[in-house]
Amino acid sequence: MRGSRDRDGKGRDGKKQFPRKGRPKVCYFCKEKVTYVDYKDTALLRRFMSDRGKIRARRVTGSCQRHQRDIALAVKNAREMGLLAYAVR
Amino acid sequence: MRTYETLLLCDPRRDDAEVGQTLDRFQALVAERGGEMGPIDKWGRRKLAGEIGDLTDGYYAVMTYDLDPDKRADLEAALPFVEGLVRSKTVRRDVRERRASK
Repeated sequence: MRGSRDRDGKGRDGKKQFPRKGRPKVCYFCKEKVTYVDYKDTALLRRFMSDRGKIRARRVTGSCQRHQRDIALAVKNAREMGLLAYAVR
Repeated sequence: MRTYETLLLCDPRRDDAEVGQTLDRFQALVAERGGEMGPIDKWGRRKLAGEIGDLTDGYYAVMTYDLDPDKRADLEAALPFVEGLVRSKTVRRDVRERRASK
């Protein structure tokens, strides 16, 4: 049960609360049972990057901790080999 | 022996025969160290995502081979002296297969 202080949509500290919406995201690599994130697969890695070429955060993509680490490493390897851009201006 | 995979980035300003020589040189280096070459996947010329030095394009080839892990550092040390080779990256291939079979 919500306490009376929650009724006006404010939390304990008086700040407005934003309840989580929707279902939690599932890690793509866990779902697909991918065991190895290939740095050569740029089409796939691009899904985990912003248009500017930055690596998307875990909270955005929903990746698990292990796979986020693999993604970051793969993107960095791909950048070194000229397969992905460092920054898009 | 372990299975390795090396992505080679060759200078695209050289003609196909010269690029072929670069790939042959790499294979020779593997063979000299008792390695066994597997399949070679030639991607050909591709646009780079950004400039590397003054290059905007590159010739890519993926080399798969078996090599004694003790010889790997020795092979890597020889790569900067391969003519026409701009960059290379080696990863273990067997890790992927082992994890996949789990």
